[in-house]
Amino acid sequence: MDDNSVYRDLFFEESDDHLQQLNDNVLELESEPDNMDLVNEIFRSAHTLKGMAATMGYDVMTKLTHKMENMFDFFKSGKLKVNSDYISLIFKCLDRLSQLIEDLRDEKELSNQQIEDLLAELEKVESSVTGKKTTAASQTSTAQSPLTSVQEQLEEADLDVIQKAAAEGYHAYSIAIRLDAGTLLKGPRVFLIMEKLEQEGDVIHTEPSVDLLENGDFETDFKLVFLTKDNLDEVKQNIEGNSELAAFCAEEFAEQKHYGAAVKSQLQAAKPQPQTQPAAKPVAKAQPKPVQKPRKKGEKPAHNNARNQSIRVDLTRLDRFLNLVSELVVYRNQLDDASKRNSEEEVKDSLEQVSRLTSELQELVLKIRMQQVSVVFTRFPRMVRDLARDLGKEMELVIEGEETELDKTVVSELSEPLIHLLRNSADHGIEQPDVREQMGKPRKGTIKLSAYQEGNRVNITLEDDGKGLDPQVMKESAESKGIDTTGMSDDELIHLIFHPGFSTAKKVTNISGRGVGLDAVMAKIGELGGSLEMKTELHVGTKFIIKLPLTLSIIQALMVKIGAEVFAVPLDVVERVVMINDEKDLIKTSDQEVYRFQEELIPVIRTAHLLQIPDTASTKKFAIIVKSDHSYHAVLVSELIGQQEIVIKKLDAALQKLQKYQGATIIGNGAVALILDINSICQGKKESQK
Amino acid sequence: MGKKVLIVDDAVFMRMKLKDILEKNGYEVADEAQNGQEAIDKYQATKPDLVTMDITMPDVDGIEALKGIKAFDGGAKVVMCSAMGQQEMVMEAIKAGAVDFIVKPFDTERVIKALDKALS
Repeated sequence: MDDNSVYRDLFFEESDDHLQQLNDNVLELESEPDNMDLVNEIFRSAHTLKGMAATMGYDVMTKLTHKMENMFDFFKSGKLKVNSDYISLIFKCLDRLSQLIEDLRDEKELSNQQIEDLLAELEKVESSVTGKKTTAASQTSTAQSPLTSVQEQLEEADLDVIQKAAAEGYHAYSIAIRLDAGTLLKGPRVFLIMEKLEQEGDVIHTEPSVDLLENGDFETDFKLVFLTKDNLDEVKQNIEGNSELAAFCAEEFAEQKHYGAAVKSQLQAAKPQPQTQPAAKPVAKAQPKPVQKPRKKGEKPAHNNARNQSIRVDLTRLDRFLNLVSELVVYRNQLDDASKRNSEEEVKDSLEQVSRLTSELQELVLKIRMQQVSVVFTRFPRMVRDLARDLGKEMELVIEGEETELDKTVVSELSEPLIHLLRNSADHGIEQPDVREQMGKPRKGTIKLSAYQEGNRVNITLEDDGKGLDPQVMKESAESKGIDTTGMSDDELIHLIFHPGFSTAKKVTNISGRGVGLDAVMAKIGELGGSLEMKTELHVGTKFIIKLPLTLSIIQALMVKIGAEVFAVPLDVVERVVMINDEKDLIKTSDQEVYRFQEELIPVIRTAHLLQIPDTASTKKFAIIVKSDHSYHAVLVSELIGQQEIVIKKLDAALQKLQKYQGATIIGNGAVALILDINSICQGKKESQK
Repeated sequence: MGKKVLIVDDAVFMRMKLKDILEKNGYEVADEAQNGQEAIDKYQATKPDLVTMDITMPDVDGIEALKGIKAFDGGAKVVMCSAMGQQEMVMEAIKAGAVDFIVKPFDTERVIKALDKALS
């Protein structure tokens, strides 16, 4: 038994590629329905996908791809004209396929029910082309009768030919062949057998007819009359040279046998035939299905988490990696050598090289983790197309800077919030074509998605030329939901869109407005260490700007002391650091402490109190002014250590629940310092005041 | 040493799968090619005892590659790899001189039987 599980990862990776390619190409096909090259390419992808699924023994997936492929075949042969209904159906299939693949990743068992609806739809299309009902190719092998070479439908003319040939030194043989029960592509199989025979003579008669045989329209047995100068053994050898034969018999043609009552000839088994049970199972079933097997209780899954994350790396980067590592080995040896000789000078030299190499390595590893945002973006044109169709709007997605790179973790988490924003733009932003026309805008709306790097951050903007946000509408909507808007500026009103549970949609559509608002997007971006801004102008459009850190695992941090403990504060939230005197600079209001910063009173967070650390007696403190969620907070710490690049280590799940720390890092002396999660701390402060 | 086989398929997955089947059954994989042109080039370079040739591949497909190989070496033994629904292509390949064909999904036993036969 061969174990397919080894190939799972590869299978998933290649399947994802093919699905993406199919999505892209099918989308293109819609705008260029006559592009045959495209159809061919699509066909090939679908075909490969099917082959892969079948080899893995994923029957359900195979079935769906097979039916889908048929459709492409109709496009190819011109039997079916590409139209957007078909394209939508294909998209549905592609979506279902990626769902199936996801299920397989999670080691769920697939059932035919998952695809029944689509199969029915596809079959409808198919039968509209072929004019007949396509029935599932049931290959239930009937109870097999013994094989006999007796020809039942021989005609007078055939006998004539045989007689004449005999006079010229030809032998006539009566041959019956039985194919393996599970033989696939029976037509070509017969064709191949005939081709081999005809190299040595002539096949003058077959039962059933050649046409039926070559179409594969028979069970497993067929008969033929073969004229050749070869002797019986040679003929047998010729036939034996074919694969997938269950049995055959060949004998000199004897006229009298073929009339009336048949004298049964012996069944001669084809030589190498390890499996003798007559009703061999269909091939697909004989395939091992390591994944679909129900797991035994208590048995660990074969694949941890079923999702071994993998990433494709540019080979040149890996080569450089290897070079650097080998260089490192050289200097390690030098160090070894120098330390033996106690040469401080040499140790220093080598150490310098080692530190240069480690920083190069660090940089490179980060680069290896980088992934182009196109990984996420490529799905969107298709999505916008579907959205436009569903909403009856006209719109176009323009993508820029898709080659921009981000840490893989960020990239893979990005799709959800982006989809949310895109849906939002399509649903609430872009107006109906007629409305647009009245306003003097082009009927077709444009949504522009761009990504670009800016210093240590990557910005992703999503801009639509739709109706923008109307502060007045926002106000009414907010009030109707019981949100207090008194004294809010237009800007604040507009930003109510990020208020939990706020939705401007008049009715809930299945596109956006599923109850989760943009606050969810905001939260997600925040989790990724990024920020979300919005600019909107009434009737001109709305623009969302997502700012993300290039990488998650190494950040610039401000190292501080709270009491006697060392903590790290991510530098990107730090606006400014000021030295304050506890008594003079902090103002106590009725319920809280505030600090005057740029003419604004901002809340003060006493970290020592919050983290329950004994504070130093000194009243001299540092206030780190941080910006979180559009508002400033002053975070008090006892001492500043300095700026440092730190590697983020994830905290144990139990510690993560504290929601005060982003992670931990190891500092120079080997001690562990916790990294403060400023966003959650500020959030916590706000909530505690409510 | 086992017989040398050149595996031609555009999907890495399929190549690995086939390679695994072959190597577990005493065959030696001479080389792998991922399209028809590469197949023709690698055939000439490695002179394998047998070629397994996928039919659908981008650019130069399996049938063209078969013809190319046959033109270089009339005695070349090429086994086509096909999926269901490719009757016509398979027949065309047989006409062009393919010695046999195997059908995906690959069944180890069938594949080995076919290759053994093709080489006997």
